[in-house]
Amino acid sequence: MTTYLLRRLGWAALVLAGVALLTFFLSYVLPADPARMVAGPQARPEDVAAIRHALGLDRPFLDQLGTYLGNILHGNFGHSYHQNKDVLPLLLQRFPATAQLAVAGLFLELLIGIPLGVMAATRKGTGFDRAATVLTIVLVSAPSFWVGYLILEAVFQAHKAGFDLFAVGGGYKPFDLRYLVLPALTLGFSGAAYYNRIMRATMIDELHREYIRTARAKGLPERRVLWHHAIRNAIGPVVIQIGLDLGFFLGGVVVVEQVFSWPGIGKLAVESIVTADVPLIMGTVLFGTLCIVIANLAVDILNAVVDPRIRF
Amino acid sequence: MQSLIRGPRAIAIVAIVGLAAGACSPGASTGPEGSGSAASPGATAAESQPATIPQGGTLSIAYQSDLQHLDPAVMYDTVGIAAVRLMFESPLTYDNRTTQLVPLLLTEMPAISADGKAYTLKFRTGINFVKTDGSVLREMTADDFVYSLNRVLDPNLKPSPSPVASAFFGNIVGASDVIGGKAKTASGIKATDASTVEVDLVKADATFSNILASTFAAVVPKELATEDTAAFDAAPVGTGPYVLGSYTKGQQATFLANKHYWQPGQPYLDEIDFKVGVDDNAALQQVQAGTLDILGDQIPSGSFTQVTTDPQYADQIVRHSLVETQYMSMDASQPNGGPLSKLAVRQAIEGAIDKENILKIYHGAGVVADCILPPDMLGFDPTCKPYTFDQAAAKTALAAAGYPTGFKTTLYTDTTDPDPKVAAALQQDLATIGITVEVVTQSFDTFLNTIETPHEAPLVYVGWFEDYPDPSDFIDPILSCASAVKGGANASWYCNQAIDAQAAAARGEVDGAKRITEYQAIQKAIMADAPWVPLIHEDWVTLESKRVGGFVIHPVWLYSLRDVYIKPGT
Repeated sequence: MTTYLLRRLGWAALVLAGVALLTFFLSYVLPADPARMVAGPQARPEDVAAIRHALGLDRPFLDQLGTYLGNILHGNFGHSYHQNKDVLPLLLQRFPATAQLAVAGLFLELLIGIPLGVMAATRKGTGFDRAATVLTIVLVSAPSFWVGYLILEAVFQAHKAGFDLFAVGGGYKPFDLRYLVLPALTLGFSGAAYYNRIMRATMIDELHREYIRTARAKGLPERRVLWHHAIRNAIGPVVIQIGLDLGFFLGGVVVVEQVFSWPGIGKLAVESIVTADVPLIMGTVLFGTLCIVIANLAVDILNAVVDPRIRF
Repeated sequence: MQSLIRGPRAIAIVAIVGLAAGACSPGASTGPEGSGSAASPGATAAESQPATIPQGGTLSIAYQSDLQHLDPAVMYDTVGIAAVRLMFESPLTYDNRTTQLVPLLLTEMPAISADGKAYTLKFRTGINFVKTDGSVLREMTADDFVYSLNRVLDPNLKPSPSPVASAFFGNIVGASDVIGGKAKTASGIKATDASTVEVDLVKADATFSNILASTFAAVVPKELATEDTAAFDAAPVGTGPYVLGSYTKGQQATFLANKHYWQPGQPYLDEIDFKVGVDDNAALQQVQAGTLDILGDQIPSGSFTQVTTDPQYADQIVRHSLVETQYMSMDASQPNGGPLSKLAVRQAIEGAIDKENILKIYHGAGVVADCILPPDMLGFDPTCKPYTFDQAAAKTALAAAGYPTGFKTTLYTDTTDPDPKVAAALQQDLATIGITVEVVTQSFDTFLNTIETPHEAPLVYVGWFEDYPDPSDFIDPILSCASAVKGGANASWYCNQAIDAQAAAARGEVDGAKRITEYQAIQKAIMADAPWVPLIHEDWVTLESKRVGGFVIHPVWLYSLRDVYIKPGT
């Protein structure tokens, strides 16, 4: 186990280093000029040149890369050109918003997706199953910015009609359900469809196994067969998906954060790209990668704990 | 360059300063900054001010973009300018509705020497710097202004120097030594006593009064405004009517009334909240719902017609013509004898574009542009209409120029709505006279790089927003030989030495009336060379809630929140 962990950590470091190199290289070769974006579109060439020099952007690529990597090894993730603040505090400041949305979104995905999947599996081939399949296809296909705007419009119309359940236009207040529910629901809708399909497939699989037949033959009530026996064995792939989703969400939920003006890491990433703010682009990409790498590792370990058949 | 507005442009935008050469009269101030109520052309929804302005209340405004800086030495964006002007003050400012310069921290307009090179500034006394906790730091002196100007020139500002050090202040005697790191202070900026400063210029420059009204000339306290702009961004201290209460990046900045403000009766509000990072559609809904007071961006295109035609919002729409010109540039020095390098070809194209159609893409919010200088700008000439729209004549002229079957070329624009739609309209118009245009849309940062690379873009759809309301700002940075260099904003690579000489003379001209005539002649001469097809001058159209009073779109400042109040009983 220890060897396995060390090996995985080694790979994780390698992945991070690879992503850092690639992102830095891409930012460098893109035609956008970060100094111009710092100076503003109307600044004159001589002032832009002075800014380029001050930020070290006129130095050779390898020189800039070396400085950047050296700083990272010392825990210095750089200074955002545009926000004029260090990158790490900016990321940490945005993290609570993203974490709330990630957890709430995941919760709603499961709340909708799992029961729907179980019910579809037990009613395979019926009208309910077909309706659930169609619904999930629609939800998976609907872009979340569109779903988000529809929800916001519905809230606005409800406000005009005198119902003020949710915050008009979205926005953010820590741990306030009036703000949190709608973006979480938008996230939940599309994710629920995935969970529904995974759950349905694995449940159908399990329900055909012999131990289920035995349980039924023993005269166990169907509810107990389903929720006590079948689900426990079918939940494995779902646990894996939960871990990966959480890692992915924690790295920033780009589209939903944007639509609901939710000040998380995803929104920060968009802002950094629009302004060619290289240190912040690097920071958000590395942070997202780190979340996914950790989630992968956690899922693998969790899987070993849950499933005694897996050994390292 | 590309100016304002939506999306990335809003981030990049720029605004700033002011001028109006020659139009300098001491202002008898009644408003927060200069008085006067002469509404400038194009202003609407400017309700008349009540006899006594109501006091108190909290105002909220939402922007898509975050504040980039609160330090006036480096702040150069439209969201930041609204915030910086709440906390800081410069020697001069503009009348609260027009582009007329009036004294702010000065007791009177600067005394300018006969040769136009020496400016003497007399500062008011008894004005205090007030800290973010609301307590008085100390009284402002002439030395603080000397320090503030030298700080803007400082190449060692961290993390990077001021974006206008050379452009705005490079003409001060000794400034280039400071910018070049050879001196700490410019010899041309001297405090002659505790309340008087003399600024000497290398060349006479009638626009310098505008520079003195810019936020870059704001007075900051030496002991707090160091070379570390990040530290001063976080705890800005000035002489303005509000102080920074709190600021969470990406969410909200709060400005509180300065209880020690020097102008009696001000500020009007207890608090102003900037909500940043708010989607413009969401912000619009909030203003409509009454949970937000002012939309910091324009009314989004998708909701424009619905909102502006709904009688329910008629008295909440605020609009004003911007001092800007949207145009299509043509590479006037296209290499290898390219078609656009031929004057006759460019002149033919001038007649091919249906500008009314382009205005429709902007929902009619603006006016058609026939020349370079926009309305509200000194030197604007409504009689300057050198070309008329006639596609048949344009096709004939193109044939006569040697291109009876037209030619192929490329038009660049950025992805911000509605620019791609405008590009498509231009493409269609040019097709009618036989020119086949490929449209390339790029993200704003890439687009800027493209059009600043020599001869990369034969045709460009772009705009220019004033830095300050002086015609020199529409010639020197975008149509001079000096700006036709890599990194410069001269998208048409237009260079005419004779025009450059005329522009240099006009810039230094101290006789206001003569100066206007000179710039009008320059404008006509450039249009005869046809480096651009001027297209439209856009309006800024936004929405306020029913409780807001005194809010107008200012021709220079855009959002001038110092004059805003909350109507009683709302």
